[in-house]
Amino acid sequence: MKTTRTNEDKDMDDSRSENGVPRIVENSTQTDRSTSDKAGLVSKPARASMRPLVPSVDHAAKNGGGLPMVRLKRRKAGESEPGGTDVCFYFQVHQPMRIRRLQAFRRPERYDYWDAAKDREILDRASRKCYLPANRLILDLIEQTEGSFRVAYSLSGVFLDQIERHRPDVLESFQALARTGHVEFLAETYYHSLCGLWDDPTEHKEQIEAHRKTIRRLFGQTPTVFRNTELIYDDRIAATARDLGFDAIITEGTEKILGDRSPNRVYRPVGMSGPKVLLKNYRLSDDIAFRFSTPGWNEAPLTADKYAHWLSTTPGDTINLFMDYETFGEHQWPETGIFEFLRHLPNEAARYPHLRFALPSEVAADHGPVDELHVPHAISWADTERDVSAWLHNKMQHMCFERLKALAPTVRAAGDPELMHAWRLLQTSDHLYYCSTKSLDDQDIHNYFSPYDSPYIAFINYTNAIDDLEAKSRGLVEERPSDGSHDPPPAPMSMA
Amino acid sequence: MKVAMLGWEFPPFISGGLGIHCYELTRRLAEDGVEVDFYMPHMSSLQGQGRVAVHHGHLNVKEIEADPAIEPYGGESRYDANFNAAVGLYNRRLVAAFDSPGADVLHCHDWITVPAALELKRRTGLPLVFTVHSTEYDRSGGFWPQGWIEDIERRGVQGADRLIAVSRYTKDLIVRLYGADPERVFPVHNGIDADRFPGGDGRDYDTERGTVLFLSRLTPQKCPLQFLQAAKRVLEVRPETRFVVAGKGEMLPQCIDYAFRAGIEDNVRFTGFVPEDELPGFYSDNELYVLPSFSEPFGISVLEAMATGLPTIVSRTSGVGEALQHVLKAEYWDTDEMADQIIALLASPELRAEMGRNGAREAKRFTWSTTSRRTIEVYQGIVSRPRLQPMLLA
Repeated sequence: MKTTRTNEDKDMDDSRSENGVPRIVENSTQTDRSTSDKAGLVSKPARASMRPLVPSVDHAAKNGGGLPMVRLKRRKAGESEPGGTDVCFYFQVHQPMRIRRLQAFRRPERYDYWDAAKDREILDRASRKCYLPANRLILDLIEQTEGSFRVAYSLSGVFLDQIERHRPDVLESFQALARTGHVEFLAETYYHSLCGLWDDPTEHKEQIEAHRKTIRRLFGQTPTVFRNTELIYDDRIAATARDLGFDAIITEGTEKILGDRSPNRVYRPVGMSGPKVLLKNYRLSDDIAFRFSTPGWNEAPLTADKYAHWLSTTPGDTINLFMDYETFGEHQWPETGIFEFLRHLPNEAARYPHLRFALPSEVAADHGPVDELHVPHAISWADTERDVSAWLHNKMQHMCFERLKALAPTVRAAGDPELMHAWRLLQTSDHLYYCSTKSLDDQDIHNYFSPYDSPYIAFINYTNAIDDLEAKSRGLVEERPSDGSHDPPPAPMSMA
Repeated sequence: MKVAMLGWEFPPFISGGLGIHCYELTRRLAEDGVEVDFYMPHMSSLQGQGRVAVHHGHLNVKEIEADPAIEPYGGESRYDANFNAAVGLYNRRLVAAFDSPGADVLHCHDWITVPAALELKRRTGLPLVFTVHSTEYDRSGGFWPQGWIEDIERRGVQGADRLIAVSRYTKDLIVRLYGADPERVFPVHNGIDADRFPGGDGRDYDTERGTVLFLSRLTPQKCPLQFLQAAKRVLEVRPETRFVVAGKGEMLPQCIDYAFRAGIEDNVRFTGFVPEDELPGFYSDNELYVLPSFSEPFGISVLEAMATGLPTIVSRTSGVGEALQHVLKAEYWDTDEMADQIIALLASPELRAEMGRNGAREAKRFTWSTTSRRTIEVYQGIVSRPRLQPMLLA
């Protein structure tokens, strides 16, 4: 038992403020938020009407509901021999908070923009069809193979909020995976935000830091590998990952940046010695994530032995299989055999001694970069273009994106955590995704994910929410008592 | 192939989609080598324009002398005794005057021609196709549908060999209301003549016109009062908005009265009937178009508005809405939702531009060629069957 509080302990407790709102902008000198008692401890915020959006978790009682530090176990001796090929699975887990039908003449109370019932329904369905059965299967596979089979996850902060609040059983199932020591958790922006595309990296860095702290608190692991929202990547984002001290960053292995080169190697960003860049092998990833049960696909049915054979004949240092976790049970229904496929894959892969499963940090540690990547224009793993057009191809999307970005100074000046939280929830990339009006195949996928009748209704709801947030934030800034000081608020406390 | 077609409106005497449909359909049929005899009432409002046949070289128009009271949609009340009598007279005379040797199929449009169609089928043994453009349920707007018309529609639905419905929405309606056999009902969408409604690409969406357009008959079916209720709601938030109500019909006095009682008369302009040739220009002068129908079997006017680049709001109970992505939809009674959609469109040039441009492209995909092709497929499905022995005329 620790007798002295280390900085690490304090940081773990501090990652959530008292009312449960993730503490990203922390500034104990903000006068309007709280009063300090003699011991200097921060007591309940003065603004009595502030209703927490995220009910507080009793951290003291449950050790933050999180895990003590868990050391990632290296794979078995003999599995890091040179000349073999790593098979690196990474699963993305995310659920946005969806905007409800907001009408212009019915101003929401506080920041009540969200369709709580729909979010809950979708979370429950995904838990039942995917998270719980897939987690259990992977836990079994890790135990059966004694950690030879190992995988990585990235869980968005918005998703973690929801399972902490509504599905502690799902949280526990991810924690069970963490406890094995054979599962790696990546860092991303807390709010699954597109702020990585803003010119000013401040917001981006703050959200990544908040997410990293949350992963440490909940899973006992400090992420060393970063994935940006939807694998959006360019040279500037690489620089941010470097500044934040990440060992590796993952993104899409598109020909746009590779040319003739193989995605099955490790690279580094142009002009930098780090972080290492791991690239998704999109053909082999999409074989599982999209084509697995497509009628008329000439490789159907895709069995584990066939796929393992493909892996075995794929040259390179690493085969990076990055996909949405909902592939297992939601996008690919159980009837397709997707769970059986996964269940048998480790055994089938074991027939080929040169194949071994690896975590992203292991891939980065074991392989030197073979070349550098110059990415001046952002890429992503979305749509056929694999760029940012999924979120920013039409004027409606651009308008909302620019408005939210432009609100940053006002929101920071207002100094209200609830406002900040609402502004950040509106940054979640899904909102723009639902406003897409592409034609043909890509739009079919957008429509599949969208809870709205049409992208136009999505835009109307989004615009009404932004209008309301803008009005409220202006109001807050204007009503601050004038104390003669017009200095900007102090810079947020570094979370590193 | 030769078709004996029984209709009752035709250019230049058009009142609704039925006449446009028959004109465009027969034009395309003629291009595909199908011969058409088209039976219709002789309209007294000719006023020296000559017989209808003079206008159309592509088909044989056979006009039947009819009572002036049969004029479609004319008069104060929907169906008065004179109209009923005129319909009966038309049908009897049509049967008597029927002369289409070599016809392979009978094709009738809407209930007014059903009695004659059924009788002619009985007499000639020809197979019968019945196109349902609208039902009494649609037209009545829920107010006292006329039982005797519903009976005729039901007899037509049961007695025809094949049914064409102008939408899946209408197909579901006649299956539900009249027990139509779904296997025999073919939804075939109407189209538009895109050349007549140019626009979309070049339209300037940044300049605000600020007017919201209702362009329809002023009847319970088209819900003009709901439009005005939505207008009132919009004006609470955007008092500078202007509304245009274009069209004529029995509800005009009621609409004007409502505008005054609601205190919105300064913001609503009633223009009266808009002639065909002025339509395209009319659309482009407005900001958006609303069709809040109680029940709209198809809604050609929606496609016309969209083709000119006008963002459009349509009721969920409409045939055309089922096939459109780039419109906004609302229940005809949900005037708050309609109002909110109007406000959003007026406030955002981006939304107007996106909906307008995509909508124009989408609307132009509805072509009369497709309508004609699908209709021919329906004919081919029954023409090959052996004919019944024709009964001798009594």
